Amino acid sequence: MSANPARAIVFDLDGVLVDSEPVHFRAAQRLVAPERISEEDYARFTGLAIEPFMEWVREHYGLADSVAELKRHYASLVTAELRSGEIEPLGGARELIAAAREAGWAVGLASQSIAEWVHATLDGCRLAGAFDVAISGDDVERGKPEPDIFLLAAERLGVAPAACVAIEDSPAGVRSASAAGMFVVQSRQASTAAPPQPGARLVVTSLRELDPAALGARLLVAGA
Amino acid sequence: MGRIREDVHIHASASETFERLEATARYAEWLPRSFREVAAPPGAVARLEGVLTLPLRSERVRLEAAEREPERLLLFRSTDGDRSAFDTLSWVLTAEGAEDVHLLVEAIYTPAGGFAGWLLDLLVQRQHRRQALRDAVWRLKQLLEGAGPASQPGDGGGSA
Repeated sequence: MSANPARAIVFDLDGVLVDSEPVHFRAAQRLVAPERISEEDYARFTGLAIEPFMEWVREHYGLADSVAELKRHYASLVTAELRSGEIEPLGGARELIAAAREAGWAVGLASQSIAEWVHATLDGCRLAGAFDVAISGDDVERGKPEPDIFLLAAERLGVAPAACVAIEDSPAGVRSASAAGMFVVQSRQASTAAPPQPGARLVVTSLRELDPAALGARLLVAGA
Repeated sequence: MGRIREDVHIHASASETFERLEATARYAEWLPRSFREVAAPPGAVARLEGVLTLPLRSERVRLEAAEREPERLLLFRSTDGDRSAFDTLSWVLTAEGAEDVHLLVEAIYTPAGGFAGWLLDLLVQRQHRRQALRDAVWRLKQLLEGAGPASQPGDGGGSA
């Protein structure tokens, strides 16, 4: 990281840097097997903290396990899926991270996933070490759409939230970063692309459309 | 990577100011003398070329418009990698009234290579680069406010 970075870019992980939702969906199916979770039901929990999803699974399928036990089981299933094969970052992700570094920006990660998954994913797609700070859902009490995770990322990066660009994909993530006061770019590149969200200042269909020079200019226009 | 910002308040409309900033063929009318051989090569997008004179070295300026938001933003990007005097030059306008605009310019540049280049930039050239931009926005202000560009050292007191 630059000694005194003036700007930062903070990425969400799932759906922004990697399209890992199919991995999570497969793990969720294994959790409730032989029952099935519909894509519509699963989509309602995309981008949110894991607890509400486990609570819903427990109630909906009448499982005897506690939410904590389900969470542990689900976590191990997802980790096994993540480590079972290599995950490729979405197109343009590596290039954007490298360009941001070259431009002297601090680079952060703010993922609502648990730390175990974040590290398994970063290892799987060979992005471990690419970030100055990596914040997971384990690091904050209140998950997205609350702003805590992005505020913590900005604090640890040493950059004011207003001087940060957040790249998000989910409605909860866009709301979270927007509430933190960041300039929010919504990426619609992954399979789980949400419709353009009100809090997004810029909506792109690929990370290849982004570069630090143009993002820096947008920050200037926004008053950062 | 270096970053310089200068800003000025101009008694002119945002549209007139933006139009002038897009007209690279007229930059020679208001850029200070530290910019030489200013030209606007023809092309589909606005382009600007010239030479920025700094102590102990001169640097080529090769820029072209990359982002444009009418009356708000004009971003020029180097067409020559880090060999241009500026990697990017961003003009940001904020209308503060019908005939009042706040103009901010941000230049990002890569100092000449190595420790010596970094030191030279820190001790000498950065100030001159900043002064060049400061003079530029001031001369643009004078021009848009109808007074003509401010005189420059060596002009003998008259307008350039």
